[in-house]
This record gives sequence, structure tokens and C-alpha cells, in this order.
Amino acid sequence: MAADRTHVQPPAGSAPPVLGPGQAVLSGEVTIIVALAGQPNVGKSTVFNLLTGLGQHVGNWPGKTVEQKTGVYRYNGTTIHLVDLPGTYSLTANSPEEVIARDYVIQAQPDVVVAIVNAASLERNLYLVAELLPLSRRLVVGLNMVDVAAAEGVSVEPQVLEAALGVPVVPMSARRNEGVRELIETVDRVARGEIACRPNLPEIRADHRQVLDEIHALVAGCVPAPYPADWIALKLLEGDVEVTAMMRDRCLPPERWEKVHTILMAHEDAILSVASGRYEWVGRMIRAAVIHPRAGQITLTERLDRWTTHPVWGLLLLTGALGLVFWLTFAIGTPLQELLDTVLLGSLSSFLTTALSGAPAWLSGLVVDGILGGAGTVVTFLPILILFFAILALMEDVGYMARAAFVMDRFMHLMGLHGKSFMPLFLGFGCNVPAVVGTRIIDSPKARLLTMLLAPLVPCAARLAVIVFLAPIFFAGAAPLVALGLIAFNLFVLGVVGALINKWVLRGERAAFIMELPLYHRPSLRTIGIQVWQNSSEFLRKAGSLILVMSVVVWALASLPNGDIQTSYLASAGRALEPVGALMGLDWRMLVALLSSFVAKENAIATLGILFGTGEAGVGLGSALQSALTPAAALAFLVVEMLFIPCAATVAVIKQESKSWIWTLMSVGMLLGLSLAAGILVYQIVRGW
Amino acid sequence: MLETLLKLLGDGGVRSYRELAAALSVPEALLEVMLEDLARRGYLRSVAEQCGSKCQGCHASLCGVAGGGKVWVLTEKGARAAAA
Repeated sequence: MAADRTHVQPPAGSAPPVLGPGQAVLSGEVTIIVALAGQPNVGKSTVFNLLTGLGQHVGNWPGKTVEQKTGVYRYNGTTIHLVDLPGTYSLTANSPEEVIARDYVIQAQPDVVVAIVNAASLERNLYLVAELLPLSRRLVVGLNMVDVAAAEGVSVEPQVLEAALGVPVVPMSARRNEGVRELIETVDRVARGEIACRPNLPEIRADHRQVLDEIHALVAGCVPAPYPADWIALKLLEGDVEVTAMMRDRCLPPERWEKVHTILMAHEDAILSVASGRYEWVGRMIRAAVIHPRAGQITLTERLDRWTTHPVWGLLLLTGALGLVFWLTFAIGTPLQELLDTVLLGSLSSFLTTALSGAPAWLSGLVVDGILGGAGTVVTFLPILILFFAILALMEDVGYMARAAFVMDRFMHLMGLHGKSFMPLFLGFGCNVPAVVGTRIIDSPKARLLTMLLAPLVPCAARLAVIVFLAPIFFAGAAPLVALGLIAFNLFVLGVVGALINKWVLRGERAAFIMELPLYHRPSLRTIGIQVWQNSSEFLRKAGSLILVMSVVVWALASLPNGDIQTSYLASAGRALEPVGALMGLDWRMLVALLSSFVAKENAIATLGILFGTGEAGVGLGSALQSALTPAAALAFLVVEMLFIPCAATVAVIKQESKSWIWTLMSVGMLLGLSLAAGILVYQIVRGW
Repeated sequence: MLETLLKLLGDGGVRSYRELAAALSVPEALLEVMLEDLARRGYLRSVAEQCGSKCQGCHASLCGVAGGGKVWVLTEKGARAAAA
């Protein structure tokens, strides 16, 4: 049936109809009632407006605040009273709209029901048709938006669909006013009995068919007219709230209701079976009549996914992709950072030292060593962060990040960490705060608390930024490998602790996730730009507030009481910790940098900038650190930084979500112990080589 | 079909739309409708419900991690139905 271009002229000045059941007069001048059903946004109102034009009557459905639209259209000697039913997804009592639509179809018994469906997404639309068919045997399907479907590469064969459904199907495009006349002609012929409808109805599983028959037998004779008894039995089996209340409270004698209730209780799974029957029916219709999208695009995504989601190759690709991210960041971003550090920061430092030569020494120290040496140093790694976030945003925008999550879960699964804890933990790669909040998806309180303990072990973006800054300083060309190794080590620790928790606390409980893997597509520069801008501005905002304040505090503690850093309060406090630091080859300055990262991870850089005196012209933090630390100590520092206590924001949200100081302190204590133990172990092993 | 879908999920682990759609011999679009239906009936929950929590201190929001795709998880009710 081709969609010929025809134009329907809306009738002018038609009187608003007053409709009720059984108004059709099928002799001579024929008057019929036609109900327009469909989901929201399928073009149902467009069809209605096109046909009724100014002859519409708008009011409310009796006793409801839902809008009712009716109108009249005359065609070939037939006066058609059109009723625009509320847009609904099904005919179960999920919403007032669904109750109105089905009550109208059952009680008013329109002569014809027209189901408008969207040809571009029949999968979403046919469920309603499956529910309409048992209620109205005179049904016409308006296959709307065939033009949109064609543009999306979806082709629907109306004749095949018609044969599969057993009711007429009219292809149309309401917005182009195409096929509407054919729709009305078909409606008229169905109303006159010239076209017979022999609908193919959905079925339910055989064992539930028996149950349905039992319920049917019990309710027979008690179902009020005009409700069909088989429909009432089906809705009872489906657990429909309204139908259940009606039959229990008004129709069935108590002893008979008890029998029905007993059957329903014994077959709670039948609720799914009824819906399943409809989905199987929809699947059959789709398989019969829909030719699916552009093969090229699907094939490309499928072809790529064969590699990117493969248990082994996918993991190797992910490792390679992460390695590439680090390599690009180091290769391009690090020289830029060094340039900013030595040239810009150095020049600015010299200029300010000269400008403030007449000012009190404390003011010069505060500005040059405190603010510039601390917050200023942090700002220099903006180029690194911009690159890092741009590459990650690119991976996300092309659709790769969903595959990364998918393949990571499989990896975690291999390690035994396959509970509901995985997804919140994965979210921790962005930031540990939403990871902790994300544990809300875990129903068991115990499992939730334990997952909160694990969340800070996931290397968040801020920790990665610190690693991205420090790894090239210590390890030059080997930095990408070291960065990857650090992430792998964190995941290993996470996997071991998580597997233990899964085994002993969750007792091997397995949880499932379903992930949508969107089609790969060309990246949008605008989307990437926006993401980079948001992340960078957030970073600068943080550098200008939290990190700036902390820089001033660290500088003050490192300067008081007599301006000598070696005899300062901070040095005294730091030296108290040196016995622990000595086991990792770290002096008090590195320990203080670690402690300051509690406020925000980037503070570690700011503190190093202040304590290693990068405020002096021409001296970069990199060279100062290289001469202060052995490779073993540097690696130990990075390991501790990766596993250390999370930032204050994460600790606060752990307290908020756990509602327990004990759990919060336990989390802090566990991570402190774990990070120091790992740092000592790494230092002692690497030093021995 | 919904029962089969729940049974598949009962095995645990992560599943993609494509895997599940192939196992059920339905298009991915219909699978998505079924997942939404199961969520409406309380058998599944969308992880995206947790979106909106953005860490002020760090540089990432919660939703970007899954690359814009939807993620569903079984609820207690869903897990019971899957095990039945």
C-alpha cells in the first residue's frame, strides 16, 4: 500500500459532538464513533487536528483533569465522531490516562479504534496495539512517520504487517498530510463491514493458560457489562490494581474472590508471563514486517566491538588506550608544563621578588613562596590536565568509554569482584564522591558499607592528575608504564580486598548489570570542548580557593616562628613522622605533602612547590624533586599517594552515607595502614634491586 | 520472554544490550522497552538514578563514566524472580 500524497480539508464550523456508547447509525447517512489511540508523540494529535480542524471540542474527561478532545469529520456520506484518547504506553492502570483510554474503549465501544503507531519505533508502539486487540476487534493501525523511518534507514512493509496483525494497516505521514485520506477510507470500510478484521492475538505460556481458564471460570457470570470476561480474567492475572479492586469489592462473592485470590497468590510470576506473551507477539510482528537499519553503521560498531569488548583483546586494547592517553599527555603536556614552570612562573617569581623588595620579608615570602610556589605551581599543570581531559572526553564521545566499563567489569569478574559493588566502584574513576553515593544501588547495608570502604581505592581523576604531573619528573620516558603500573596496582589491591569481601561477607552473591553500548560515532568538537572547559575551569576554581588557602596555611606553618623552614612548626611536626618516612626513603617534606593531600589531592603538588622552594627564579620543582628522591623513594611516594586517605570531600560523604563515625574512621585507618604498608614494601623491594 | 531475560541476568556479570537481544532473538530496541518495563515493575533499577551527584572538588560527573549509555541493575525483587 503506497503512501499517495492526498490532502484532507478540515471541516469548517462542525458542531462539537456529544458522544456516548452506541450512537452509531449504520444506515443511510451513517454516523460512527472512532477513537484515536496511541502513545504520546506518535502524531495522533496531528491526525486529529488535520481531520477536525476548527470543529473540535475541548473539555475534560468526566471526573478527571485530563484533557478530552472530540471532533467531527464527514467522509463519503459518513459522519465520523472522532475521540482523541489520551496518549498511553499500555492499557494497564498505571496512570489516569491509561484508565481513561481503556475505560472509553470498553464502555463507549467505539465503532472503530485507530491505533496510531510510529513506524520508526514499532518496538515501542506495538505493545499498546497488543492490548487494544482483545478489546476492539475493529481496529485499524495508522502506520505514521513512514518518512521518518525511511530517513533512519528503517523500512516497514505494511502489507506484511497487516497480514501478521490481522487488521488493516495504513502507511502515512501525518505531518506531510500523506495517507490520512486512505486511513479514513479504511476506517469507513471497516465500520461498514467491507473489510473484516481477524486479529492475531498475543498468547500466554501454556501453564498460565490453564490458570487463566480457572480464573475465567470463577469470574464468569460476575463480570459487569460491558467488560469482556476473558479480558477481566487476564487483567486479574496481570495484577491490574483497578480491575482487582473492582472484582474484589463490587463483583465477586467473598468465597469466590478467596478462590481467585489463592490462585493469584500461587502464580505471582504470571504477571510477567502475560507481559511476556505480548512482547513475544511484538517480536514476531517486528521480525515479519521490519527491515532493520543501515547495515553499514551497525556492522562497523559490531566489527569494532568484536575487539573492544573481547575478554582478552578488549582488556589489552584498554591497557593500550590508557597507555596512549598517558604517553600523549606526557609527550605534549609535560614540556608545556615545564615551560610554564621555569619561564612563566620563574619570571613572575623574579618580577615579584624585585617588586616586593621594599616590602616586609613575610609579605614577599607569602606571595612568592606561598602563593606562587604553592597554588602557582598547581596552575602550571593546567596544560597537562587539558590534554588529559580532552583525550578522555574524546574516548567518551566516540562511545569507547562504555566499552571500557564493559571490559573492566569482565576483568573484575575474573578477579572475583562481581557484586553490585562493581558499578559504584567504577564510577570512582571520575571522582570518589559519586562512587560513595553510588553505593545506594546496593540493597544490603553491610555490603554497602564495605563497598564504601573500597571506593577510595579507585584512582580518581585528581589522583591521576597528580600522578600525571609527578611520574615524568621521576621516571622520564618510563612514566607511561609507571602510571599504568600504579593504576594496575590499585586495581589489584581493590580486587583482592573486594574478592575477600565478596567471598566472606556477600557469600558469593552475584549481581548482574546490563549496559547499553551506544553506536560509535564521530566525535563532536563542541562536546569535547565543553567538557574540557568545565573540567579546567573547575580545576582553576579549586586552585584559586581551596588550594590557595592551603598554600598560605602550609607556607605560614613552614615559616613560623623564625622564617627558617628547617626549624619551622611544620618541620617539627613532619620530623615526628620521619621514622615512618625513613622506611620509605621519604623525608618530612614528602610526608607533609602527603598529609596536605587530604584537603584536596592536588595540594600535594602545592605543598611540594612551597617546601622545595620553587619560588626562586629559574628553579623548577621537577629538578628539585629529582635531586631529593631516589627512584625507589619516588615510586614509594607515588604508591602511597595512590592508596592514601581520600580527600576531605570523600571522607565527608562517607560519613554522610554511612551515618557512622566508626565506619568513617575505619575507612581512614584502613587506607592509611594499607598505603603506608604498600609504600614501605615497594621501597624495600625496589631498593634491593 | 521477560522471565527468560531475568533468568539470563540471574547468572550475574555484565551483559550488553546486544548479547541479551541476540539471546532472546529480538531487536535491541525491543529489549530496551522490556528493560524499561521491568524497571517500572520494580525488577530493575537504572543506575542513572544516582546521576546528579557531582563532586565539587573533582573534575568529573557520575554519568559520563558509562559513556552515555544506560546501565541497569537487578533489584532485590528482580534477583528473587531471576533465582525462581
